[in-house]
Amino acid sequence: MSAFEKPQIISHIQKGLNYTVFDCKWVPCSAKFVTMGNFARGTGVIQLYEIQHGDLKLLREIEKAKPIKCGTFGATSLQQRYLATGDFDGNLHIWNLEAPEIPVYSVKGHKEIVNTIDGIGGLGIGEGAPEIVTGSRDGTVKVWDPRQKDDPVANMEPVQGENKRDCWTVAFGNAYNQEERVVCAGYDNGDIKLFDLRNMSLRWETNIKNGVCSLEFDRKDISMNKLVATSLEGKFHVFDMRTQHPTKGFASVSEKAHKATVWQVRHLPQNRELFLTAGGAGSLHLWKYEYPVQRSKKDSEGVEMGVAGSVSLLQNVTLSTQPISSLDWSPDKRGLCICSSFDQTVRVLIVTKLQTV
Amino acid sequence: MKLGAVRPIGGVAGAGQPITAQNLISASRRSAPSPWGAAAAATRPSCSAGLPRRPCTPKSAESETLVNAAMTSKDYPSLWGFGTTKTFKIPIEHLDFKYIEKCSDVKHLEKILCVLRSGEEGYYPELTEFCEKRLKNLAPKSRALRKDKPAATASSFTEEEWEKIDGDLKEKHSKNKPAKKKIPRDYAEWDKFDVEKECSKIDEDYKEKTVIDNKSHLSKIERQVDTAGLTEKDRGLLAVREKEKGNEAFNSGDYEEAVMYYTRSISAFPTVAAYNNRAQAEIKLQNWNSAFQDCEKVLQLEPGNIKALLRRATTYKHQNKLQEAIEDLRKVLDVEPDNDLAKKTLSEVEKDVKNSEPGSRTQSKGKRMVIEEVENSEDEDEKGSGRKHENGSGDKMAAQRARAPRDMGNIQKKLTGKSEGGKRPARGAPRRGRAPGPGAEKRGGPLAPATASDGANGQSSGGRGAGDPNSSDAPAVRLGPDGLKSQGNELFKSGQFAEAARRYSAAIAQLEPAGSENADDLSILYSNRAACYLKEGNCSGCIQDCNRALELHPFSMKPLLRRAMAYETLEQYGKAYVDYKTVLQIDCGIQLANDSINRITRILMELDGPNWRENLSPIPAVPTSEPLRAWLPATQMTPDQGGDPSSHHSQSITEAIEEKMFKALKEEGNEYVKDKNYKDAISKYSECLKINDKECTIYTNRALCYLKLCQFEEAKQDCDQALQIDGDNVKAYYRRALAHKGLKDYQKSLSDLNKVVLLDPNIVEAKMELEEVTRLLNIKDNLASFNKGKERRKIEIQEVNEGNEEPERTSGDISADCLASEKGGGRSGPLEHSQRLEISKPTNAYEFGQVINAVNMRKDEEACAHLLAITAPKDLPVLLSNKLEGDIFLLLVQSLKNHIVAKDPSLVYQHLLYLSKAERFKMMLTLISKGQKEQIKQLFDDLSDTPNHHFTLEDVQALKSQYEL
Repeated sequence: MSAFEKPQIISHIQKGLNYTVFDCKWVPCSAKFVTMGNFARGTGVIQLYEIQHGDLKLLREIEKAKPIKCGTFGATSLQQRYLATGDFDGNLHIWNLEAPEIPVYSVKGHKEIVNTIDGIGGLGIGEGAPEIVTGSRDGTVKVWDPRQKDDPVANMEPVQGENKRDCWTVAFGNAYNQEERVVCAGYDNGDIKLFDLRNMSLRWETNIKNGVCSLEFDRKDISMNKLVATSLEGKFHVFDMRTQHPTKGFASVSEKAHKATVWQVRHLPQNRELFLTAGGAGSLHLWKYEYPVQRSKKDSEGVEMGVAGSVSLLQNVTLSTQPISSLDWSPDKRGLCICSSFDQTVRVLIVTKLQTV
Repeated sequence: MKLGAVRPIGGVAGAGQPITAQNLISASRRSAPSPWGAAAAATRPSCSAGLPRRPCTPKSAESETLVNAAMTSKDYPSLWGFGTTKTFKIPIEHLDFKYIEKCSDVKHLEKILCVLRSGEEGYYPELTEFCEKRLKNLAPKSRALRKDKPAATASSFTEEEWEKIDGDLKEKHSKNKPAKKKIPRDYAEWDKFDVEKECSKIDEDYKEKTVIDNKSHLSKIERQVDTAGLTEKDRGLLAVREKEKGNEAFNSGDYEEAVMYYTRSISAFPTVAAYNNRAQAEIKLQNWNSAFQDCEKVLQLEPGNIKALLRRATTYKHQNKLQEAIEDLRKVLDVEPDNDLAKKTLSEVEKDVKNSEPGSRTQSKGKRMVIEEVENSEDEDEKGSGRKHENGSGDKMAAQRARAPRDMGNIQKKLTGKSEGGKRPARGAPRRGRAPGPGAEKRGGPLAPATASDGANGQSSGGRGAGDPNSSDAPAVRLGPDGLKSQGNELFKSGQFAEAARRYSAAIAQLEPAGSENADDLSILYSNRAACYLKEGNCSGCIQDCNRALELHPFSMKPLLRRAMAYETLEQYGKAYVDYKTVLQIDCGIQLANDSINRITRILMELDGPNWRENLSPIPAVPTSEPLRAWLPATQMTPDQGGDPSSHHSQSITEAIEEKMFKALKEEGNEYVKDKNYKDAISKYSECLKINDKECTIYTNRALCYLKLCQFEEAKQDCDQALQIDGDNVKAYYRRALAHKGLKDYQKSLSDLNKVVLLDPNIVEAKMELEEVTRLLNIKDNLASFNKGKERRKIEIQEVNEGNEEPERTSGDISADCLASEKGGGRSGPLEHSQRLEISKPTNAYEFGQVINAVNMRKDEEACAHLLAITAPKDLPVLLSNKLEGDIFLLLVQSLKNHIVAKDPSLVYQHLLYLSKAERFKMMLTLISKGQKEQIKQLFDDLSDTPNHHFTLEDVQALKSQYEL
C-alpha cells in the first residue's frame, strides 16, 4: 500500500475555544456538533456548531452552573435529538437543545463527578428501551431510563467494605434484541467489568494493569463482537467478545500505540473493523482489526475459546502537543470526525479512503 | 557484528563527520516530549480536578531494557571502541552506515534508530534515514518506524484528489443547509459503492474463514425491524445501518448473521444493494434458491444489474439450469465485453452443458471436480463485480441496447434448434438441451466424438447434444425398449450403473417418439436412469430425470425419493425436505424418508434458524387417489433404496437375484390380496420373509391377510414384528388394533388406535374403529361389574343356578355362532350330553326316561320330535313302560303335531298307534283336560287331512276312537 493509497487524516477545520473542552458529539443526521466543557469562571458550557462552507459557525451557546464533563445522544430518538450530559456535580441532565433553559430530565445521580456517559436505544441503534449509563468517581455505575424519574434502573457499585474505584469509562453493547444488553465499565485500577443487564449479573471481569481510559464495543447493536479498551500507559487491548472461555475469558490482542495515555477509542460507525485512538501527545492513530483464520478453537479440554486477531496501523498523525480528550465519528458521513483537545481547540477531521481499506 | 567492530570508525563514508567519543558526549540532548498531564494541568488547573488522575510521566518505549542489548555490549571490550550509548548500551561503533547495512537484527536496529532519533549521541539525519530504510526493508511493520506525522493538508494530495475531498465536503454542507433534516443524497451512493466493493474484496481474503462457533445469538435476532411510526428517512437510515452490520458480518465470515441483517435492512426499507448483498451471502451459504430469489428481486427493481445477473447465473449453474446461466452470463458480457469472470464462468457452464449432455460422461469423481471449479468461479465473480464497480455501475442504457440483438440471437438459435430437431419428438429441443442426452458416452459409439465437436461449437450444442441415441449404441438398437430396460435392470443390479444408464437412455429414445401412450413406461425408465445417475453421483442428472419422470407420472414414489436424495447430496436441503415430505404424504411408512426428514430438519434449523419453514417452497398436496395407487409399489422402495451405494456394489449378484425374487413374490402376494385369496397371499408373503425378514410392509400385508382370515393371533404377531422394524408404522398399529379387537383385548386395541390417530389424525377408519372399540370396552366393563354382582349373589343364595348360566351366555354370545342349543336350564352339562346321546337311540326304558325328562324340563318340542323320529314306534310302549304321564304325553303329542306331522304323517300314525298301546294309556286319557284333548283332536284332523298310502282314513278313525275322541 503506497502512501497515497493509505487513508489520510486531514485536519479540515480548527477552531480555538475560550474554555476547556471535555467532550464533543455530532448531532445525528446533521452537519452540527456540540462541544461541552468548563469556563474559566467555573461554569459549564454547551456549544452548538455547524459546518458551513468550510468553516464553523457557532449556533448556540448554553451556560450552565456546573462544568459539563460528558454527553451523549445515544438514548434519544432521531426526531428529538436530546443531549444527555453528566456534570462535575454528579448530575445527569437531558437537554432539548432548542429550549435548553430547563432540562427535560434531571437527576442527581452520583455523589461526585460523572466521568463518563453512554446511551443506547435511541437513534435506531440497539433494540429495546432507551437507556443511559453513567460512571462516576464515586465508584458506581448507574443505568437510567429517561422515562423513569429519580431512580436508576440498575446500579452497579462495589460491595460494602470494598475499595471504591474511580470509574473512568462505560460502554453499552450486545443490544441485538429487546432483552439482551450489557454494560462494560473501566476503572482507574485497570479493572474492566462486564455487566449483563438482562441477568443483572457480573458476566466477566479482567484487569489490564493500567487505568482504563476508554472502552468501546465495535458496535452496540449486535451480538458482542469486539471490545477495545485503552489504557493509561499507551496500550490498548482488543477483546474478541464472541467466544467466552469459562476460565480464560475473552481472547485479546494488545498493542502499544502511543507514547502516552490513550484517551479515547472510537470505531468507525460504517465499518466496525476500523477504529481511531486518540493519544496523550495529541496524536491520532487509525487502526484496522483483522480476524484470525479461525475465531475460535478448542482448548485441551474441548472447551471453546476465542482466538484474537491482529491490529495494523493504517495511519497516524499528530495534531497538537496537548492530549486529545474526545473524539467522535460522524454517524452520517463516512470519514468525517471531530476531536477536541486540551489546547482548547476543536478540530474537524476528514479521513479519506476508508471505503477501500 | 565483528566486522563492524574491526572497521576503523573514522573512515565512515558519507557520514559527513567522524564520530568521536568527544562529540558524542557534547552532543545536544533533546528532552523527551513534555508529558501531557503536566501541560494540561498547567493550562487549566481546574481540569485536573475533573479528570481521572493519571501519572505525569508517560512511560516511553525507550525505558524497556532488553537482555539482548546487554549481551552485545559485552562482546565489545571498551578497549576497542569508544564506549556505549547511554540508553541500551549499544557500542558507539554500531552507529555506522556499514554496520547498519549489514545488521539484520531487527530489535537491535530498532534500538539504534531509537538512539539516533533521540539525538542523545548527536544529530545525524542521514544516518537516521538510512537506518529507517534498512529497518523498513527488514520489518516493514516495525513499531519503531511509526513516526509522528502532522495531519495531511492539501499539499499531501494531488490536485484532483483534493478537489474531490474538498468538493465532497462542501457539497455536503451546502446541501445540508437548506434542508437540514435530509441526508445528503451522495452519502447513500457512496455507501452503496464501497459496500459492494468491500464484499467482493473480503470474499477473496476470507474465503476459507470458518463460521463462528457461538450461534446462540443468531436465533435471538429478530428478522424484522419494527418500523412503526418511522418516517421514510428514518427507515432509510435504519436500513443502511442494518446493511452495514450485514456487511461487517459478511466480512468476518459469518454469513448467516449477514443474511439476518440484510433481511432486517430489507424489512426496514428494501434496497437493491441489500438484496444483492443478501444474494451473495446466500450463495456463500449455498442457499441457491434464496439467492436466486434475491437476484430476481434486484433485477425487478433494477433490470440489467450486472452483479445480480452474475449471481443469478451462479445460482442457475448450481441448480443445473445451465441454459439460463448461459443467458445471464451473455447478458453480462454484452454490457461488459471484457468481464473476465463472466467469460470464465460462461466457458465453464458451457463445458458443464457438454458434460451433462452425453449422459454419464463424467464419473462421480469428475463431477466433483466440476463443482470445485464452480467454487473458484464464484470468487472470480467477486473480483469481477468489484472491478465492474470501478468501471461505474451498470449502464442501463447500454444494457438495454445490448439486449436487443441478444434476443434476436436467441430466437435464431431456437429456430435452428428446431429445424435440426425436426424428426425428434415434439417434446423439443430446448428442454432436451439441458437434459443429459442419452446418446454419447465415453465409451459410447461412433457418435461420441461428433457430439463433442458439436459442443465445441457453442450454443447449439444444447439442442444437438441430445443426438440420436440409436446410432450411438449399436447393440442396443436391435432390442426393443422392454429388452433394453430389462438389460438395464440387470446391469444396475450388478452394479454397472453407467452401462445401465445407457440402456435406459436407449430405451427412452425408442419410446420417446410414441409420446403419451408410453408415459408410464417412460416414467419408469427415467426413474431408473435417475437411480443410475444417483449411484454414479451425477445428482443433477438424477434430478432432471426425476423431474421428467414426475412430469409423466406425478407423485410417483421412486422418482420423488431419488430426487430427494439427489437434492440432499447437493445440499439443497429445502428441496430435499419438500420431496421427502411429499413421499411421506404418499406413504408415511417409508423409513428412509422419515429418517431423512429428521436429519434435514436439523440441518435446516441450523442453517435458517427457527423460522426455517418460511424458506421452504410449499409442499405439494398429493391427491387422495394417489396413495392408493402408490400403495403397493411404494412398498418396494425401501429395499432397493435403503442400502447405501457401496454396500450395493459389494454384495452384487446373489443379492440382486434375491431382491428380484423377493419383489416377484411380493407382487404375487399383492395380486392374491387383490383377488381376496388370502391364504395364498400369506404363503407368498411368508416366502418373502424368508428372503428378507426386515421388510416392514410384508409383515403389515400379511397381517392384513391374517385379519381377513380371522387369525388374529398371527396378525398380531406380524404387526408386532412390523412395529419392531418401524416404530411409527401406522398401518401396523391399525391392524394390530383390529387384531386386538378380534382377540377381545379392547384395552390394547384402544391404545393402538390412539397411536394411529396420533400418528395420522386423518385416518377416518381409525376414528370409527376407535369409537366402536370404546363402546365394546364399555359394554365389557359393564358386564364385568354385572358378573361381579351375580357372583356375590351366588354366595348369598347358594342353590341359584342362574349364576353359572350368565357368564356362560355372555362368553358364548361373543365367542361363537353355535349357541342355539344352550337355552337349556341349569343342568346344561347333562343336557348337552343327552343331546349327543340322541344320535344313538335309547335302548332301554331308563335311558328313554332320562332323555324325555330332560326334554320335558325344557319343553323342547324340537328335541322331542327328534327323539321320536329316531325311536321306532313299536318300541314306544316298552320304552315308556309305566312312566307315561300327562305332561309327557302332551309333549309327545305337541311334538308330533308341530314338527313331524307335516313331514312324515305315517310316522305320526304309527306313534299314535303304539302310544295307545302303552301302559297307563287309558288312565292317562281320563286325567287329561279338555284343552289337551282338543290338541289331540287337532292332531288327528291334521293326520286325516294328509292322505297317505301307509294308512287309510278308516284307520285314523279307528285310532281316534281309541283316544276316546
